[in-house]
Amino acid sequence: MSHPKTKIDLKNNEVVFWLDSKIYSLESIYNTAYVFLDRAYVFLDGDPEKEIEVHLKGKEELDGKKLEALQGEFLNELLNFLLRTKIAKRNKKIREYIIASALVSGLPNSFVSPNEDKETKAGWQDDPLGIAVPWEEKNQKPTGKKR
Amino acid sequence: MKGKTAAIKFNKKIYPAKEIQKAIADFKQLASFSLSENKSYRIVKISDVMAQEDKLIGNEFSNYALSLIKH
Repeated sequence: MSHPKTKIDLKNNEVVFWLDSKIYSLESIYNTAYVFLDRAYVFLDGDPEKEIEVHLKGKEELDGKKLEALQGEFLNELLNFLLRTKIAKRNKKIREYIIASALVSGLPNSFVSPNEDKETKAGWQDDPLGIAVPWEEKNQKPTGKKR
Repeated sequence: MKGKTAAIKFNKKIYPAKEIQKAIADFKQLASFSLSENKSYRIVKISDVMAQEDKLIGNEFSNYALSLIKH
């Protein structure tokens, strides 16, 4: 088990740690940093292709334990973000399908194809195929006699 | 920071130029800023800070620049 390298600097009220870019992408670190902007001053350095250096400086004065806790929360949020990203990628197609279905069902009737329109307008008493017409009526030969 | 100059070095691979320039434009009423760069860093020099909390401006500026980066 490997922990990220950490340095706690009480004088500057900050914790500095390094994250392996192979595990944590720069994108995920940006997003996590964004969550912490209201609680800490976040500064990033290092090489995004190898190792990213994260500086978290407390906005309020923090002791060693609190700085360590701040780092822990940052790492938890980072994992949370990575998991959310992974799930979002996995569910992308099904989300697109659900949105497409919702959009299609919300279309006004004018957007529906002409055949579909007829089908939807036909009531239960309509008989477009003449199924309800008796056989005799259908096959009655014209007599040719006029009354 | 009145009279003094503070410099912040932003890694070019992490902080895009556009966001740094936007942050400078948005903070220009609070202090004087100058931007230069070397091979790896964009260097922002901050001087003549107007606000009373002059120690914070560098940190707030960095946070703001980071917040501007598109996710």
